Amino acid sequence: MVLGWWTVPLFAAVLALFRAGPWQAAAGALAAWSILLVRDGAASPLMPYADRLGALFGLPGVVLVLLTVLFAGLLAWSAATVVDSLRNGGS
Amino acid sequence: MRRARLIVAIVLLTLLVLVGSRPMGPLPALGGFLDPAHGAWALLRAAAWPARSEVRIPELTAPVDLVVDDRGVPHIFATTEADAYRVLGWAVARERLFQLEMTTRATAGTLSELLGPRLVTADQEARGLGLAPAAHRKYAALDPNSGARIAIDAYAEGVNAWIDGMRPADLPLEYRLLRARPSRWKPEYTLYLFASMGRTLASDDPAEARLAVQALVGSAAAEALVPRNSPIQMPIQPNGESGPRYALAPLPPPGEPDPGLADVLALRRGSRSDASDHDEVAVGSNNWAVAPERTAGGHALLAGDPHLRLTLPSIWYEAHLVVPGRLDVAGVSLPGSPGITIGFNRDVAWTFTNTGSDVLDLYVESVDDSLAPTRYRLDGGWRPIEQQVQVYRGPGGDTVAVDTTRFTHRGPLRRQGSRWISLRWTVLEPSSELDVFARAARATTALEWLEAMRDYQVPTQNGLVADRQGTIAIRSSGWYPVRPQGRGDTLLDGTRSTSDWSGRLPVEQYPFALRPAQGFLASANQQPVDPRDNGAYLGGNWPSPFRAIHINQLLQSEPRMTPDGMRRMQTDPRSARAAAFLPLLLAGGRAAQAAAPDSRLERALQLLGEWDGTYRPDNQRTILFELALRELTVRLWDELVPPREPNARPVHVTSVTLSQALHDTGGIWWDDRRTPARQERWTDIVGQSLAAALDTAMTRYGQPDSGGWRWGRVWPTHIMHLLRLRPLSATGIEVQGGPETLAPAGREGEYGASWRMVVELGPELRVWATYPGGQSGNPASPYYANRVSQWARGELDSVLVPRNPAALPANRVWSRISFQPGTP
Repeated sequence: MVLGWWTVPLFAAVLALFRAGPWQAAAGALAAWSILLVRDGAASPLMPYADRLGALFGLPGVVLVLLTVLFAGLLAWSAATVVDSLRNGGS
Repeated sequence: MRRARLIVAIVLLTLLVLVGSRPMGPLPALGGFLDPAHGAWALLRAAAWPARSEVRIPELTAPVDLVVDDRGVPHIFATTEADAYRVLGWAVARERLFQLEMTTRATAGTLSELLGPRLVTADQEARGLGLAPAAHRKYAALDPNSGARIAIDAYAEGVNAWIDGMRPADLPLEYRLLRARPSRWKPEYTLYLFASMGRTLASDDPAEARLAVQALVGSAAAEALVPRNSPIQMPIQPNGESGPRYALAPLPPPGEPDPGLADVLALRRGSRSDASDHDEVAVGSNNWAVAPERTAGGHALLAGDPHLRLTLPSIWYEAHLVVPGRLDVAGVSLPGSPGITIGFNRDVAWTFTNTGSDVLDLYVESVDDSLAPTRYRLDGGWRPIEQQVQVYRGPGGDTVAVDTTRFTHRGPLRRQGSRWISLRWTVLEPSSELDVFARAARATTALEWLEAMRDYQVPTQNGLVADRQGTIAIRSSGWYPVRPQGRGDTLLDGTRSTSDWSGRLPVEQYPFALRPAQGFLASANQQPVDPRDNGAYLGGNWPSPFRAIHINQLLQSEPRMTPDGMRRMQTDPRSARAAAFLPLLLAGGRAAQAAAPDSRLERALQLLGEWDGTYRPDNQRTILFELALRELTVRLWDELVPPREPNARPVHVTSVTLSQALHDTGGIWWDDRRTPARQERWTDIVGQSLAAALDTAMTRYGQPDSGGWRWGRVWPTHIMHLLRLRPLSATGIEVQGGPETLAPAGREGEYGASWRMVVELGPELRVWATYPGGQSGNPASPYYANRVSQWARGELDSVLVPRNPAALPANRVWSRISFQPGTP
C-alpha cells in the first residue's frame, strides 16, 4: 500500500513547509477524503454500508462517516500545526 | 499561545498516529481501516462489478465470457468445462472469499488460528472426526484424468487467480476485522466442503437417541418411543394408499432405567439442553414434482426447497455455466465446489431433500489402556491404533492446545464416558460425488439423470427429477450400509470383525418411484419407503411425516397445478401437525374443564378455539398452540427427565410418537410421576398444559390482542453472519411458517429454506427461484442481503437462462468480463 492513510499528515507537513496554514491543510485533507468517500459511494450505496459498519463499532453510520473525514482533518491539522510551529521557531 | 497550540498538536498527532497504526483490543488499526482509498470504505468499490473488463487467468485454454445479470448471477460461457470451472472459481472467490476460508477451516479444525482459542473445542471435534484426512485420501484416489479431478483443479486455479490479482481494496471486511490474510486455495478443499455437508446432513445416529431413551425407560419403551419404522406412513415411494397409513399402537409402559447406558445419556445431556426445541420441528427440506397430466400448462413442474442453517452470506451461490454442445446448467453451487448441486439444464431439473438414513455406526472397542490406548482388540488379537498428535494454534501462531486423534480400521476412536468407541461413517469412505453431479448436469432425460446418480454415495439424498418429456421420478440415493446384525441403531461389539459392515444395499433396492400413477411425487425427509413394501434397514427415528402429509394433500387437491401454485405451497401457512393436534387439545381441555372448572383453562380454550390453524406472521393465536404443545410434551414425557435433573431434556421424542400417546389416552405415560399421590389422566395433562401455556404467553407477550402475540414477532427468523456479528446479520425477520409447516422454523429461528426453486419444463424452460441472502459476501454490496425480504414474503425471482452472451437483454446486464489466457 504505497499511498496509505499516513500520507495525510505527511502531505499536511509538506504543505505547511510551503506556508499553507494548518486549517488549510485540514480542509484539504477533509476534502480529499470526502471526495474519495463520494467516489466509493458512487460505486455502491454508501449509507446502508455505513450503518452496518458503524454498528460494528456501536455508532450510527453517519457518525462513522463524519469520524472518517474528521480523522483525516485532525491528522492534517495536527501535523501542519507541528511543522508550522517548528518552522516559526516553536514560539 | 503558540506553545500551547504546539503541545496540543503534538499530543493529538501522537494519539491519532497511535490509533491509526495500532489495533486496540478487538478494533483494527483505524488508519488503514478508515482510509477511503484502500480501507473498509473501499469495499464499496470492490462490491461493484465493472461494466466491462478483461481478466487474465494463466491456466485458461481459451477465452471465456462472463456476463453478470442484474440479479448478480454470473453466466459463464466457455469452450471447455475446465475453463468454465476456472471462471466459476474466480467469480466465487470474488464474492465469497471469506466464506471459502471459514468452510475450509471448520472442516480442517483450524478455526482457532483465525478466530482465537475459544474455537479450540470445535477444532478438536473436527480433527477428531478425521474429516480433512478423509478428503485428502479421496483427492489422492482420484484419477488425474477424471472429470472430478480436472474440475477441482481448475476451480482451485480460478480461486487462486482471484487471490493473486486482488487489490488492497478487495480484501474482504472480515479479514480486516480479524487482521488476517486469505489463505491460498488447495484443490482438496473442495472435498473438505463435501465432508462438511456430510457432517451436516449425515451425522445423526438413531442409536444415540434410542440408547439415551433406553437408559431412562428401558429397551421395550425405547423401541416404541424411538421407533425403527414411523407409525404414520406417508412414504416417498408411493405405497398405494391415498393418504397416510396409520399403524398407531399403545406404547409399552416405561421400564427400569438401564444403568449400563448412563454414559450415553451423560453425553447427550451435554449437547441438548431442551429437547422440546429439537431440530425436528426446525429443519426440513421439501421437494415435489407434478406430471404434465396434473398441471395447467401440460408440462412437468418441479419445486425444491432444501432447509439448512441460514447464514450471511448464504450457503448457496447461484450460477449458470454454458459449454456449447457439452453443458448448459444453472442453479446453485456450494461455494468451494465446481458445478451445480441443485438446478436444471434445458431438459431436466432436479433437487434434493436429505434422506437421513443411518450411515454411522458406533463400535465399543476393547483397548489396552483406558487412558492412552495404543492397541485395540480384534478377533482375539491386538491391532495398533493409528495416532496423531494434534497441535492447535492461535492467531499469533502460539500453541493453544495439544491432543491426540486416534483411528481404528473403522474410523475415529474417541473416549465416551468410560468407554472407547470407534465410528464407521460413510462420509469418511472413498467416494466421488463431483463426477456424479457433473454427469447428472449433462442428462437430457430423467432416466439419464437417474443413471448418472447410480454412483452417488454421500450423504444419502432423495433426488427428485423431472424432464421435458413429462417424466417425473424420485430415488433415495446413497450408500446404505448392510450390517450383519441387520440394523445399526445400537452399539456394536468392536472386538469382532463380524460386526463390520458386510456390503451396501444395491441401487435396485433404493426407495424409488418413476412416473407414478398418482401423477405427483413428494419428499420431506420422511421414512422413504413403507416397510410393508421394502423391509431393508435404512435407518430409524425418522422425522414425523406431517410435512409430507400436507404436501400430498395439497397436490391431491389441485388437479391443474401452476408454477405459482407450487410457489405458494412453499410457504403455505397451514400444518398437518396442527390439524392433527388442535382438535385433540381442545377436546382434552374441554373434558378437563368440565371435570374441574378453571378460569385460566377456560380462557385458554376460548383463545385456542379462535385459532384458524395457520402460521401467518400476523396470527395472534398460533403461539398459544405452540406453547401448549411444548408444555404438553414436558409433562407427558416426564419419565424422560433424568432423576435429580428436572431441567434437563437429553432426549427428544418426535411428534409422531406424541400422536401414539394421544391415540392411547388411557396409557400410563399420561401419569405425572412427580405427583405420586395422584394418577393423572390425559385430560388432566392437556388441561394443565393449556393453562400453563396461557400463563407463559401472558407473562412473556402481554394480553392476547395487544400485538405482543403476533406470530411473526414471537417466532422470527435470524440469518446470522458467519462470524455471528449482528450488524452484518439479518435478524428479526417475520416469516410465514412454523414448526412442521412447509416452511418449518424452530424457536432458535436460524433454520429455513436455504433455496427455493420452481421449474416448468415446457418447450421453453421457465424457472423462478430465490434464497435468503444475496450473491455477494461483501456487506458493502447492494447484493449482500437483497433477497432476504423477497424470501421472507415467499416470493421468487424469474431466473434468466440465456443461451449465449448476446441473449441476455442489455438492460439486465450488470457486467461483461472477458477472460483471456495469460499472465495478468
